Amino acid sequence: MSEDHDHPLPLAGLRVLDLGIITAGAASSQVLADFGAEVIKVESTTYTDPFRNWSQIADGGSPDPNASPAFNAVNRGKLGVAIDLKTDEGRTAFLQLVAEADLVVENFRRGVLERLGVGFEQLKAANPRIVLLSLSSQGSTGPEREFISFGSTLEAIGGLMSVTGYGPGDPMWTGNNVNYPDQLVSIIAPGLALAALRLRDHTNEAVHVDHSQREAVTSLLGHEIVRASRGDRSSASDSNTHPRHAPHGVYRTDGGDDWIALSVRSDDEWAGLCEVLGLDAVARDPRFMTTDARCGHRAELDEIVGAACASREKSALAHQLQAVGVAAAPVQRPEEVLDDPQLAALGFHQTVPGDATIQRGFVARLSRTPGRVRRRAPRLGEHNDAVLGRLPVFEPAIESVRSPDQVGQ
Amino acid sequence: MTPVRPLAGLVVAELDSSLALAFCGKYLAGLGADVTVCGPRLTEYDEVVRDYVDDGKHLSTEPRPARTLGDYDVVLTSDVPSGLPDHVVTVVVTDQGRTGPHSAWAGGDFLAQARSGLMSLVGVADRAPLAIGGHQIAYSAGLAAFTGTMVALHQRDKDGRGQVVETSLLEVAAYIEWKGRMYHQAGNVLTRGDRSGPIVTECSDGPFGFYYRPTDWPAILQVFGRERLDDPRFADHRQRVCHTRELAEVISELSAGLSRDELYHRLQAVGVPAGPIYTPTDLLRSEQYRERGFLVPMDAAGPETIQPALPVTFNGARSAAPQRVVTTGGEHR
Repeated sequence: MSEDHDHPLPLAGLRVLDLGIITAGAASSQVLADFGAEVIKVESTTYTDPFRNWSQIADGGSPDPNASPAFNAVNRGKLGVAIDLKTDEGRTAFLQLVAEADLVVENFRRGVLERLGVGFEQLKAANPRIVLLSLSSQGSTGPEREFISFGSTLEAIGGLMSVTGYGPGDPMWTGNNVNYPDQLVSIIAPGLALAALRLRDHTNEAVHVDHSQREAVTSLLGHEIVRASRGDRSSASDSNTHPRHAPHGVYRTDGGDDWIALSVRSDDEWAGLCEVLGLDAVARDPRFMTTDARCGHRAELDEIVGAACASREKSALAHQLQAVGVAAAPVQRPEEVLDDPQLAALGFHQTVPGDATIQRGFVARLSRTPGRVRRRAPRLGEHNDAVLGRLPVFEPAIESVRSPDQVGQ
Repeated sequence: MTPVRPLAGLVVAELDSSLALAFCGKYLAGLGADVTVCGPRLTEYDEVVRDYVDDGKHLSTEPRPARTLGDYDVVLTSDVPSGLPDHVVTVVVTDQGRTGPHSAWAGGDFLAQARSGLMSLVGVADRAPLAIGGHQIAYSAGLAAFTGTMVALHQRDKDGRGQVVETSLLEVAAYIEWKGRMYHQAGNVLTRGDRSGPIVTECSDGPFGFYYRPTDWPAILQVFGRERLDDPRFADHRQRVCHTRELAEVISELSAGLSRDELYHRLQAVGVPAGPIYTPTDLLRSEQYRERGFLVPMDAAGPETIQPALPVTFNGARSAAPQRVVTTGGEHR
């Protein structure tokens, strides 16, 4: 459990028990680990994090529970213990860890913690100052609290699909490739947990933070809720257009699946676009002279701009357009993003010790106490001895949870 | 239940007109911080957006706050002001970052989705890459700034010193789209529209997001019966993926006589994680949201205007902005 000490980490001293699985739970606690919290990932000896053998996207899951790229990407910086919470001994060990912890993170189905005997009431009994961060589909209350969802479902029932698509009646989701709601939660939830710790410190009482993923999705469409409550029509159904900018969209460029994204926000930018694309006559066409006129002739405009972009190379064209003040960017594929010079200059990409795989960076950059990747994701039960060995009451009964056959070592 | 204010006592100045900063400020205010915004506001967005992101804040028409910046705990800005006292946490959100070869490039939500790889994975394979609707990246960048702010405040609680918290729309979009890069390095290239799963089907009162896992198929047969689905084209998951269009047509025929909520409840009852494609208007009628007190009147606009609360409760209570007292000066207190 040794650590380097290049600089102080802002969350050093904070202890987190991580029951989070897949992305929403595990990635949320990873943010806390990135900034120095001691995050102990607690997996059951009989039920490991499904991300350890994820076949939904990867072509077939690996039989090695320690080799999953997905798991390793959202669990860096953590310690790992394997405890079977369905046994008395395992539950006792877990609650002893709770007694020393500040925060427990979980994203199980509602009712699972209680059935395991480690619900909020039991956690409070073990530690009257504990904070429990529950990340659930729809929250811990309400008639749909026990409904299950994946990220795609949340995009539907949270309202996002209704404003994402190629046009009216064509709702789209980000799908399994992205699972946007899970990523969103991992950005919000660490901040909410830290807010709850301030509340805990003020009241000296335990706090249950109940974060609904569906509500998070709707929160990011809040202006559309306001609009609907005023009886106004939703502002968009084609999410590649802009109500007041034209041309605005993606246009195919030279190559297989190569595109450029651009947005013209003023008459000056329109002049610049026409100059770069060699559209001298179009620049003087009265149908396109003003923003209002361009917005009124989107279809013709898109056809003209699309034709002019078709033979151009996307990155070179983006550079040319930016040089004349037009907002433009190549639509990059994930592998191209790995070589993006701007992200490289910002130091965004990270690696973990002993693994050359490039992972995403931190949720934010801090000038004085920045985040740091301290270790790779834990192997199943890797830190059992170190973590369980420091429990205040190390009874013989707890010894059984440390045995190799139970922790799957 | 009495609202809680975990950030009560924090004083925040929002100096620049930026949707991301405004959303960060909205979360700080919604958790009880005293947030003052200055200067012209978000002129490139409509009134609805401005009302939503600024609710719960003190609005000032002055270009800078009446107090000196050293009186604030947190300053939200597009660049770092000079001469700030050591205790101030300065939060900066830009389009591309303040340094780097393209720091001066024009950007924004749409372009961040393009450049980050996110857009390339959303949409249909033989159609254009598709942006996620709304202001997702600007708002998400605000939330990343919020979480970064909370980390910096935790450090300040220990040593009394602030620092600069920084992010950009580009970085946040690249944070959201991590799977494509990770799987590419593992030898499995993700492309737009290449994965099985969600089907959009039609119910009697609107579209429905028919999301299912391979293991859900027996439950689906239980809900719809075997008559139309006991077909070689749908015999196993691989076949169903190959015949997604035909499956969608059959499912639409089977669901056409059901309302969205009826199908929602039937599928959830057998453990299928599907759900209706709700519009914002639909969500105003959500019983789940009503019972949880998620939709609340907007402070500044009267009880008829509804907005979402923050998506969280603390021991069952929603959080709230500080109580507002209107004064005769340029600011509300």
